Amino acid sequence: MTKKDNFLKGFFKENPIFVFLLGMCPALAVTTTFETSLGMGLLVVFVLTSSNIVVSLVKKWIPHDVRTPAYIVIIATFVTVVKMLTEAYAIELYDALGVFLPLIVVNCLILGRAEAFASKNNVVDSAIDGLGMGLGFTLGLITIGILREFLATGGIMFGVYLPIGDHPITLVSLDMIINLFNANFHITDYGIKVFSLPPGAFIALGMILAVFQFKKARKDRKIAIAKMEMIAEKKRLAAEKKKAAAIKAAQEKQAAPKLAKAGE
Amino acid sequence: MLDKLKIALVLVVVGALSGIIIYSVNELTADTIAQNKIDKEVSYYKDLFNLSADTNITYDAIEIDGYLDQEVTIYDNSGDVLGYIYKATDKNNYGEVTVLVGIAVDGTISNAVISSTTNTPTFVQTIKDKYIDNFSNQAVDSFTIDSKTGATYTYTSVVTIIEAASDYYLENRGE
Amino acid sequence: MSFTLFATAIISAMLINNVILMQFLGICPFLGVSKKSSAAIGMSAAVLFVMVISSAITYSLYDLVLYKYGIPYISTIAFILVIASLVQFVEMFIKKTSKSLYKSLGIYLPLITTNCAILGISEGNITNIWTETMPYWQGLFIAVSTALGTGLGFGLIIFAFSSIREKLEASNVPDAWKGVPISLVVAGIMSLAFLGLAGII
Repeated sequence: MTKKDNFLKGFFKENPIFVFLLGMCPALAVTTTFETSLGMGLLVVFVLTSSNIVVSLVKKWIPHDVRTPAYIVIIATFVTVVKMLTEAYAIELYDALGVFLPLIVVNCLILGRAEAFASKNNVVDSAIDGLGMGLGFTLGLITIGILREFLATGGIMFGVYLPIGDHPITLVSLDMIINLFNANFHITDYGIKVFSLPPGAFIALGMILAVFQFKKARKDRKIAIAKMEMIAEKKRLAAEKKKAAAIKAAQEKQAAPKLAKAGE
Repeated sequence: MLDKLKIALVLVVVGALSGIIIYSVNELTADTIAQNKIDKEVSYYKDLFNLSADTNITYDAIEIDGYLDQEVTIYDNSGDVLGYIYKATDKNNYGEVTVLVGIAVDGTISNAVISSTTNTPTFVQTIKDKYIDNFSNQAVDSFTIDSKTGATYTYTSVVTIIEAASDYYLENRGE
Repeated sequence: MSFTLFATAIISAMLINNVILMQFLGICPFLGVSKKSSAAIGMSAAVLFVMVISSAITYSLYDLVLYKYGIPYISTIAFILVIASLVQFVEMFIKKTSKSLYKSLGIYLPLITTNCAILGISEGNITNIWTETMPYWQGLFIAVSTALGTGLGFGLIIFAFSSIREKLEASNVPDAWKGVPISLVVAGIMSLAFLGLAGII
């Protein structure tokens, strides 16, 4: 697998959230806003890449029987480091992520990649794989986060949790567009607020997975139709051949007595 | 026997390395964390009484039983009591809201500020922009509350905390 | 340590702050295991057992050892190692005592280690229950009651959901929604129902 394929596979073909359904717990819990999803995704990228690199470096020395506890200790080290750094430099993000920051340890994605890829490949490939998968995970989280925040509040805010800039700003907002036409109508008053709450998380993720499955179902149906057409075509050709052979045989049968008569 | 020993040795080495890494990061960050927390609280205290950032104040915090978390008595630099700040955390469906309410010695609510929250930021921003300033400079025994805000859960938590703080003040510190 | 404290902890952990539908812990087994009711019951029994014992051990570990000797930040590693060894232990025990149960649980037993719910409850107990002034036995009592309630809530939801899912498999769902998407929407509706219980305690 080339390095580029290795990196890009985590984005769409093997996206951890939408294809493998790994890491569902943070995908539902931290995606109330775009910014928390982005923050969580970047932290997971860091932990996944670092743990892939370390596991790939020490894979020769860890005996096969104890590899799971050893991987868990390595991953937990990085998670604790990330937790302390976040608490020191981005305390709002730390409060918003809550218990899901230490829960990165049991994220099936990280342990799964360490087990399936990093313990069998060299350092550079493992690092690229970790980076790709982590960024794909972030992409998935951001998709859900944007959908939920947009439906719940009609806009997307930035600067609340990440320590960037002094004041939170509103990046995008339907209000901005509507205000071009009618300055008195505030769509933020009509947001579907349930999408900020737990039920909305389930429903939003269900909707996104349904979109993916719709595309896949359509592609599968096209392939099935093409296959059936090919089978029908083959059958038709076979039937025509049979008919042609039958006609030829009948003609020969008719021609044979005539030849015999002519021979006399 | 030898490979069991090897397994144990590997685990010990991995554990020791991770312990060292964590210990050193902790040394690096623990002071920053503690200092950040204190700095932030003190800057809120100053904001609540409209003091500039370089005024010197001293304060005295006591824990309270019941709904409120703590009461902080603020002294200005000549030792007189400026007022009391009440801190409480309320839980609502979106998460938690922590509010600091400042009540001056003359019985007016000087300010209220949402110090930390896990509610959705757009709702919190609505409260911060339009509704939380309406509490300033109202008398603590007769203040009015706006009713419709468009961010109901967050606003209900804020109002509950302000009412609890004013009740406590009237019971224990008011004349 | 009264009955009220026990009942409050259990009801709030089981219904009000339900572990799957409100706190989002334990979603992976929720979507993965819950297709057959029998597997669901077996899994939730194992999870309940591991959850109660691990929360007792981790709370004691934090209060008596980690905090006392000034290393609270090592809690993540310590907790996950405790949980992993406990699961290993339970697996060996079940293998020796009841071969049929072991066979029916199959792969789900080692998967309990990466179940967010167990580590989440252990960490959650430290955040919500432990304070510097709380006496050890009272804190332990509340922590274990919370874990018991959480495990019961987990089992309740997984069993209910597996029954619903068995019916969903047999019904006429459009192609795009078949399988996981429609189950998630059903879970969202269940979560809406549980949202109505908020604020009771």
